[in-house]
Amino acid sequence: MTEYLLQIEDLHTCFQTRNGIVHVLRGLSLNVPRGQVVGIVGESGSGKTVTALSIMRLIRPPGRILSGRILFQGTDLLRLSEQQMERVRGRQIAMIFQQPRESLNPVLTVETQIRLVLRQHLGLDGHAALTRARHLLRQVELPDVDRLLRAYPHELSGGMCQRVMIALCLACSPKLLIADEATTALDVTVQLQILRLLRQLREELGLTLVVITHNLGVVAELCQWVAVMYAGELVEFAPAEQFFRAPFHPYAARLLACRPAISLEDDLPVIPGVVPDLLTRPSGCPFHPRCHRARPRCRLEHPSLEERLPGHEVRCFFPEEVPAWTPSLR
Amino acid sequence: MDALLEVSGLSKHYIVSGGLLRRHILRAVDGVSFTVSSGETLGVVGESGSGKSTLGRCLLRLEEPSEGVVKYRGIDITGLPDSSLRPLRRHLQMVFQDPADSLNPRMTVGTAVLEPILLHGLARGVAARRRVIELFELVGLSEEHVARYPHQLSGGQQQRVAIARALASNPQFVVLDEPTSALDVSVQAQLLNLLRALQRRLGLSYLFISHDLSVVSYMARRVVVLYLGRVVEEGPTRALFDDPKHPYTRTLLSAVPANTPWEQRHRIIPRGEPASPLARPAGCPFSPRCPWAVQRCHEEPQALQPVGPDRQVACWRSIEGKIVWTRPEA
Amino acid sequence: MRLADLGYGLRRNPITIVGLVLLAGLMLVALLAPLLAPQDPYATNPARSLRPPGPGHLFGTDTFGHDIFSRVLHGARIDLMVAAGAVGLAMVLGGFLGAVAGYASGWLDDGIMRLMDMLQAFPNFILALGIAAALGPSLPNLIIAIGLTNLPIYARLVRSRLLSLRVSGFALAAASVGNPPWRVLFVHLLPNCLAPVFVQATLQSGWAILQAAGLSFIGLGVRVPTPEWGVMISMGVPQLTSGHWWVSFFPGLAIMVAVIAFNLVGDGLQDVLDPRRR
Repeated sequence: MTEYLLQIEDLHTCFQTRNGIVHVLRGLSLNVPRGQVVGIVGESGSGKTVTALSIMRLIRPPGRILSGRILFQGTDLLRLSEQQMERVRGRQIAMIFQQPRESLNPVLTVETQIRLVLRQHLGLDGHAALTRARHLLRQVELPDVDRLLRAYPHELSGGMCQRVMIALCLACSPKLLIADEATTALDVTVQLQILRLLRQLREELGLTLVVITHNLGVVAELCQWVAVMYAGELVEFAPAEQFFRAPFHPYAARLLACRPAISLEDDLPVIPGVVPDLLTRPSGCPFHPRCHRARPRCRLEHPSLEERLPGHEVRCFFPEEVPAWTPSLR
Repeated sequence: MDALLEVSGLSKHYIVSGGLLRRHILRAVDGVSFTVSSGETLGVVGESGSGKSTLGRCLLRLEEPSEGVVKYRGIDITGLPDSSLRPLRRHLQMVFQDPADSLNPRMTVGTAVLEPILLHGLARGVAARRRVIELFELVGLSEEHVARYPHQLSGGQQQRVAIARALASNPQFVVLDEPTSALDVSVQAQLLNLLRALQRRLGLSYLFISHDLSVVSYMARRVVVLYLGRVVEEGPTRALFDDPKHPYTRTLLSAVPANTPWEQRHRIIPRGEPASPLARPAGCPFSPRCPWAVQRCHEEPQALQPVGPDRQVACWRSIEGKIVWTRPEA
Repeated sequence: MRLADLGYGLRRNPITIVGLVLLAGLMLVALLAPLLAPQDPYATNPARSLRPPGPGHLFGTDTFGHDIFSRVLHGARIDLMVAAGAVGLAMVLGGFLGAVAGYASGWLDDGIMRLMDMLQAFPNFILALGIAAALGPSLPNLIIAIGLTNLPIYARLVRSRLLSLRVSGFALAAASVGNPPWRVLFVHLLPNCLAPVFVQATLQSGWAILQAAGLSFIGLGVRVPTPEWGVMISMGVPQLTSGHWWVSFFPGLAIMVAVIAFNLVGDGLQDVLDPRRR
């Protein structure tokens, strides 16, 4: 029996906008096994960031979590008081964001920022805090630790800021680390270093990672499980290798196929149309207007998540039967 | 194939004050030369700090080059006064990276596309409006979009408007500065197909700037690799990516995330942190991070030398065949 | 699009509706003063001087027998005209200077900004006082004096917005498409700088009325017997000690209502135009 660190059950999150209530997440369910890396893949409007914020209970008005359970080590986070949640946030579950420099306080040195976290969650101060701070910065492979402690965020490169961010997240030895597009704003060489660091930290510290990204390459590098989101729903969930070999959902298959590579003649396969506005979701399966395999049933009924292979679930009436794209071409 | 655009020795430097009485010279672009032929796409690859965006802007004289010559159809446009330059602007257009930012939020998109037509006297009144609708349809939008404001369109649609605007003056040369970096993968595929179709249909020449190697490899027949403002390698796309001759190109290629979880890729880890254009080393700009650098590399600036019939590389060790790619020197 | 924004803004800030109603009321009064006022504001009647509020004279009369109610109504015309004129002048001239300074940079920018510094170096009221004294007391001069003292705010507002917009994508795109610099500035950039300007203008209108009242109070603005609220207050001051409170009270109340109205609308406008909500 797999042990799950995080279990999201039937999560409903909505936002009040001037045009009405937008139901961003409608019954999202996702399980994250302990010590593993789950990648949540989606494009804009898929609801992946809202999912991360819901887990951290950082959804503020005009957003609201309507219903559902988020079980972290058996405790439902949605039932905790704000005070109790504050002890979870940063301590048990930590999050890295997309723009590293903007996530750090520009007027505080690195040392001050680490100390603040250590004091708040671990009650560490003085020399003990400094030792831990040094240890953390070394753990994220930052050079010249003492000089770095005295630096301000604007003096550091994007990659270094992101590593400081990771150090801050690790300060209290959390069990779960959520990375929301953590490498999207970074150069590809820097991204490689951060991905390797995350992989290493997972192995050394037994961290569980939830990696949110639109970049399938990042998923291939880092994740053992892939969850594909579309229009606020989970449409496919599979072990990474299986997913890349033979995705079931037409959207996932097309997503894998439309990545450019050296091919000077043919046009790229495309997904026609645009991601649906969450206010006016299509009826039935949300992907049907753009789906090359859609049939009348797809417009009328909403498919539920079904397990087609062990560990491989898909939400589709007519999933791909053979691998819809061939990895060998790339 | 005749040369549409010839760039020689283009440089752009900024004077940055580093505190009291200290002035640094930031060489964003340093002695860049290349040619773009009629109907061709030249790819420009680089990470942040490579100067690729500055290069694009200098070509169109949106920023004034500090040194060097840019010739369009044999006419030197570098020194031209504003009044002579403006009529030439219709031939050289640009599509920017962030579509939302490149459109005036207070102008309907139709007006934005109409403007160049009126400015260059290409049509007036009803004929001009008809041309706007034609352009919209050319880029895959429809007449109903003409009266919309940018914020009412999706990112992909906004970028299509930007392309329509660039094409409104019937240019022959279009600089595409990371046109799809801000877009989702599926939208990117649509837009790349569109750009290629437009090129075939209208006989356009492109300068395609990107940090994304797979996108560049798909779009461009020839590629120029930039590092800290200098060209380090140039050649046909396929040859360059199959067998890169410059250590930086190799490093860049190796850093691209894998396509699948089971892909084994040999990773080259550059030493140290990404360099800043403010602190450029004396010799080869990549030498502080290059795994194969020796003393001579640190001291002697490298010029582009031919290697093969239509390739150039700025690395003496590579040209002399002294590098064993699988064995970085300690 | 704009109307929908307005509706949403009002729903989120219902108190703005109060401001809008008050403002609309004031403007209506200003427009229709001759019809609404029961008596000629300039008509004196010594026999009925210093009557307390009552039948025939809703707000009472002053020392000269003027009907205060009629004068307050007519005063709305004058004070709103001053506010509109002064703020309008400050906005247009200040905005233009700020735009030129922000776009041109270099010595032109420095020159204009140092000029603004000079204007701002004086306490606002003292400066208005000085200009009004130099020009002589009259309504147009009052407008000019107040307008000039408020100029620097708009210049700075527009200039700072322009500095950040100048490097934005669409400014670059406008240039690349073939717009000469002046078109980039006036057709593309300036319209995008106007939102904070309008908010500031509304908020400042209340302040302009106070300044006008203040200057008139000390005799440098409009002169007696013009029914301007500030002048009316000054006329009523000597009567306060003798218990004839209504002479100063009602014009003072009018000023308060006007300033509140402008402030409420200005605050609401700020929310509506807040780009973060897009």
